[in-house]
Amino acid sequence: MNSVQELQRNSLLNRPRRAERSITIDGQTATDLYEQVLPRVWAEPKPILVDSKGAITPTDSSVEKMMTYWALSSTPITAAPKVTPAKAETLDQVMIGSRRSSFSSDDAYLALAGHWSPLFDQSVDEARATEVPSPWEAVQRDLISLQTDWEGTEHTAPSEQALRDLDTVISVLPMNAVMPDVEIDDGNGEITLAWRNLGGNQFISIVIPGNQSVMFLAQLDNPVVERVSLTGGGDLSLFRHFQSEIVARVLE
Amino acid sequence: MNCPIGELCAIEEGYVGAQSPGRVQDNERMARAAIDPIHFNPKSGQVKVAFIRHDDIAHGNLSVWRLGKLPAQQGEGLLNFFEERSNPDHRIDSVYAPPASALRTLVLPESGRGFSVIDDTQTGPNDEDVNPAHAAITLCQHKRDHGQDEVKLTFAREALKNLFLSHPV
Repeated sequence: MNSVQELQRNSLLNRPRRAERSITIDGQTATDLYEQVLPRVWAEPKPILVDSKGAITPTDSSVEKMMTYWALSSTPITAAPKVTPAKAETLDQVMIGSRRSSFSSDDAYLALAGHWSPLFDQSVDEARATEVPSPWEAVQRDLISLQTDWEGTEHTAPSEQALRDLDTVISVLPMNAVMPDVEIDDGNGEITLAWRNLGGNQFISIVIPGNQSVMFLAQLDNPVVERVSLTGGGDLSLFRHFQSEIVARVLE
Repeated sequence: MNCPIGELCAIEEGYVGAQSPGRVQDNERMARAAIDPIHFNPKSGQVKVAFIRHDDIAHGNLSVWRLGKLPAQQGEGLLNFFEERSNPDHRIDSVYAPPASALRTLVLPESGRGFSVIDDTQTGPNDEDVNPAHAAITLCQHKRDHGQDEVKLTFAREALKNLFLSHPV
């Protein structure tokens, strides 16, 4: 395991996860999964296949176990760490944490629950009953709807690429982070996630222009500015920002 | 060389607006209105990015008003002041007014102080477009001299917006 994978693993192990004590997959507890299975998932790219009805087929048993766990523990798929490379080979090949255009995390959850229900210790209905919809899903739906709502107007809605970049950003946010203000520049479709009211002049902003890079801007102990590429694993730089102690503290 | 915090920037020192009541003092509050729908999104209830545009910082002055020199400093009177100056189809949602001292001490990455507050009384393109209560926020001289990096300008925009939103009237 390289240092980045170790960083991710430690981060995930420290995250609060709902209902994890009651979930076991093939006799493995959440701790087993995170300590034994997830490192294998991270060891090499793991594609997942989605058919036209949204049913998901994992191509690896370790991926299957982790996705089952994430589905049962109500971890939004978009918040789960990436397990595949940034480029999918075919249209029906998707990545955890970077959804394709017609593929929502809600769809993924339902597809997962249906596809792998025999593996569940709890029933699908129970799993759905305990699901807490991610507030990000509503945000993403609103942003997608702008493309229709603003058609023919002088406003510019976020581009498809901006929405994909937003997915990537969401995937590296701490799961317990408070929701930011989500602002759209209707002149160019740029998305800004802004955490304000952090005390004093403190703020954290992520600006998403839709060009496979984002700007990480923060005024905490010191001003921080960085343009982060989201290609070639560059999103791990953003991940590290959010794992830093001071950022995690102000976002709790 | 960076502009000094606690002293006047060269721009502030050299600028004198027509009919100006004098340089903007540190304890003065600088007001800017969030206009619905230009600056305010009624659906989300949020002040939009347009409240402070990139271009306002990169290429010009951000228009503000010296709160203490307006006919009213709060409530309906203040809203009426701004409404009289806006499109009749628009509505004033809110007014924000940080002190000039906070604006002047705002530090940008790797370049120290970022902004000057000047008594720019010009409110329009014509000579007669003058109001003594009008002022402007502009990049400090050293920032203009050394050109601008887009990411740092975006930081400046976010920092300014954050400062305004934390000082509602």
